[in-house]
Amino acid sequence: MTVSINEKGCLNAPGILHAPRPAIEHGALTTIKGIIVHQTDSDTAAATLNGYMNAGANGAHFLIDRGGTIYQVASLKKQTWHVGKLRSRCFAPHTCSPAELVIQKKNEFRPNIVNKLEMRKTVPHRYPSNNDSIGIEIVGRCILPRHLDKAGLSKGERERLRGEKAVFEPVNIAQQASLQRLIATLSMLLQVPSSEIFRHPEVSRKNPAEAGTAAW
Amino acid sequence: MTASWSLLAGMMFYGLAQAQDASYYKAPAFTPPAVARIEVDKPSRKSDAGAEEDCSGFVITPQLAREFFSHARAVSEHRRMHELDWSACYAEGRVKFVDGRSGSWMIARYGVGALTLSSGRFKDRTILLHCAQCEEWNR
Repeated sequence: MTVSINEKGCLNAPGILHAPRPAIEHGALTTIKGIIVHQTDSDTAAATLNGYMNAGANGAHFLIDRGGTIYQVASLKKQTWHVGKLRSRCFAPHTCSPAELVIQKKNEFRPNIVNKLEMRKTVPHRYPSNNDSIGIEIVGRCILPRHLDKAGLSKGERERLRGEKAVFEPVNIAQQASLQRLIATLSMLLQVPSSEIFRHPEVSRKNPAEAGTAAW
Repeated sequence: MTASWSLLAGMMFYGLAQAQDASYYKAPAFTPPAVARIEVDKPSRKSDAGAEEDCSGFVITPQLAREFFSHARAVSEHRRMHELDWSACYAEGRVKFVDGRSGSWMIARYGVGALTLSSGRFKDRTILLHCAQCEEWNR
């Protein structure tokens, strides 16, 4: 089988199943500069595939199930809204110019302003965004660590704690293997350098554990 | 890492996964009523999940908590998890609304919060909230 991307944006490669979910596709994706790796906060791919049919659902181009099955759910010619507001690419690694450092410091906790400033730049001076990246979701729940999930907590209390304290399940061996294969294929076909592949919390303000155990 | 190690780690460190249903994608029909009384029990805390974030400038006062509830709207779990900004900095407290309902709340930096109601409709449920006007308190 020849590995390719067809005119509809479908990746033709061994082991890729197509499960289109047009509801999560948005504007045209005319340039691809990066790849962002996510986790779903779901138990199964089926739950996420069903969820992608709900009004207002957002997702990413690919979905990797617990057993390693890879689904392509959105065209590579279409954007999916998987990234959110960008972090400053120069602030954390201390590579901002002195002038920009002043602006970034002033706006460190203003995500809307930082995102606007970043979107004036191009990759690699900013992180890849919805406009120019592919998203890969890996099935995995975000759950309270056992030491916090104490007896006596009500369901409501668990739900309230989950927002701040929950962490994502580890990515399993089958998922790691599929992720590596998918990233290698996409990088080769789309000339995405390894320096432009990120875990979601690196580029946006997200739970730091999301995709924290993913490796490629 | 081996598959068995992965499985063992999952069993050791994590509780049972909860099932995901259609409500994950739908915000409940709830708008916070006017606040009668609000108390801030923990004005500035930091989650272990975000060790690198500086929470020293994040402090929620009763006035800010009132402001949050006057603008907050219910959001779905999907929106909280996948669209809104996450922060390790949060505050906790209690609230009583003018309609008699009361509950415990959590408000995080960037305007994301949660309210567990202890009475009335939605009793013992947690409503996830977002206050767009509170995203950039810069605290």
